[in-house]
Parts: sequence; structure tokens; C-alpha cells
Amino acid sequence: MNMKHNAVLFEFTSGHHAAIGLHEVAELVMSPRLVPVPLAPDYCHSLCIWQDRAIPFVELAPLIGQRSLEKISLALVVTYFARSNGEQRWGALGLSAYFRMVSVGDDAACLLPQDSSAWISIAHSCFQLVDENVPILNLDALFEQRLELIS
Amino acid sequence: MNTTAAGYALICFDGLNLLIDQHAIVCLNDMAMLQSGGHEEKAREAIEETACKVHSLTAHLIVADKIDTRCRYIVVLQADEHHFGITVDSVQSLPTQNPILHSLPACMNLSGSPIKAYVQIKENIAFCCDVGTLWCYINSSESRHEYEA
Repeated sequence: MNMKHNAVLFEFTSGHHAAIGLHEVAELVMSPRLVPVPLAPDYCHSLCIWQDRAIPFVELAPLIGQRSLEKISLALVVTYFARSNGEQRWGALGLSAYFRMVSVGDDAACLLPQDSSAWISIAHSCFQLVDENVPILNLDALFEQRLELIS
Repeated sequence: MNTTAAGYALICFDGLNLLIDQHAIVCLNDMAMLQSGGHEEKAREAIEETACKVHSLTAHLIVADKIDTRCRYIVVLQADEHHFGITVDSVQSLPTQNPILHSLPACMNLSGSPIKAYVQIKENIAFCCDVGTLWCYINSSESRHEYEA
């Protein structure tokens, strides 16, 4: 592992990426066991059974009005501390391909993508990677509140 | 939440496991006799005898437009003063003692949904269903919207 790596980059829909901090990654699960939750929003339709816990499983694409990747075969289990009470929590992000680790510095900071108004609710910040603005997710915001779907 | 789920019955249909407060169950009608012959007329008779409207629900809690006569039971439920029935495959008590009731994660928790909590039994999940909210939901247009679309 390159010690300079501090973020994990993943594709959530064709040609669009998001990132989280490397320290927020718990595990990458292949063929996760998912249990659909009746009447849950499209972007978090299932609970993922991980290490005897049931954790929310989120797909970013529907949340920002993009088409989901056809085959979600991986769950990136992430951890964060809930802002409300400081408890450690876990969640899972649906992926169709492996993530990669990258180094992100302050000099790469840029504006959030303009393709969805949801980014302002679920992203801490954003960085430029080649010609793409890559949002860095705020996991507490993503998992600890109900977000409106962008149609 | 994280309270115990004692006093709940586990009902199953269309692959969905629901926990229902046992006090909300008025009666159970056995439809097993209908399975062998698949007689829909008999099913209708059995349903009419419950003297309340019966619904079949999908795993997404969408109201189906036809009664599922393959189900084994009709569970008649009481919400306030209203009685209504749903078709189910099985009814049983919880297989574990004092299972813990967990709140649904905030991102999945819709205000009008009867599902607010769940119980984890090994790799299986049973969703705790509020019967009063289920009654309101079944009578709302939302319960049929997705099915018709």
C-alpha cells in the first residue's frame, strides 16, 4: 500500500466516480447478502447482512438521478461516527467494480459537480481528477438522514 | 429502539417475513383445503366468511389486484375498530426468545410506512409491521400505485 494514499475512488454509474476517506473503508464484500426492505427508497432498498449485522445498503446512482449500474455485485462496507451521538456505525455502498486508492491533496479541491442538487447534501467536498470533479462523500449525511430522490 | 420483540407473531408471504403484534390478530382462517384443487370459487367463499375485506400483498407491500389462493391462511387483523384480512403462507411464534427489535436505519425510514423496525434472526430479517399504519397504507393510493404502473 502506498502510504500517500488517503482516499478510495469508485465508479457509481458509467463514467462517474465518488470517493471516501481510506480510513472509512471496513471491507469489500463480494456477492453480499441483501434483504429488500419494503417501501424503502430506491437508493437504499436493502439491508446488507455483514458480520452478523444488518447494515443499510446504498446505491448512489438513483439518488442523484442517474441510472444504476446493471450489475451490483460488490458491497463496500464503510464506517463512520454518527454526528448525533458519536456512535460508530456501518453502511454499505453498492459497486459493480473494484475501487482504487488515490492520493488527494488540498490543491485538487474544486466545486461539486453540477449534475445533481443532491451532492450538496451528501458530499463534504470535491477534488479534480483528470477532467472529472469527484465528490467526497459525507457518510453520516448519506446514511443518517432520509434524502429525497432526484428525478 | 432496541427493545425486545416478545408478543409478536411471525407471518410470511411472498418471501417477506413480518412481525405482527399478537393482540392485533383476530382470527386465522385455514385455506389449505383450497390448495389441492385450486378452486377459486371456494377461496372466494372462504374469504367472504371472514366478513371483512381481504388483500394479498407482495413482498414490497404492494396490494395485488387478485387474491393469492395459493396462500394457506387468511389472517384477520384489527386496526382500531376496523377488521381486514391478508393472505399469508405461514403464521408462527418467533423462533428465538427475546429477540432485539432494531430501528430501521434513518435513510430507509419513510414517515407513512408501517415498517419502522426489524428483528434479525441469524441471516434472516423479519420486519416489524404496525397494523394501524398498515391499514391506512392499504387504503391509500400509494399501496397500489407501483403495482398498476
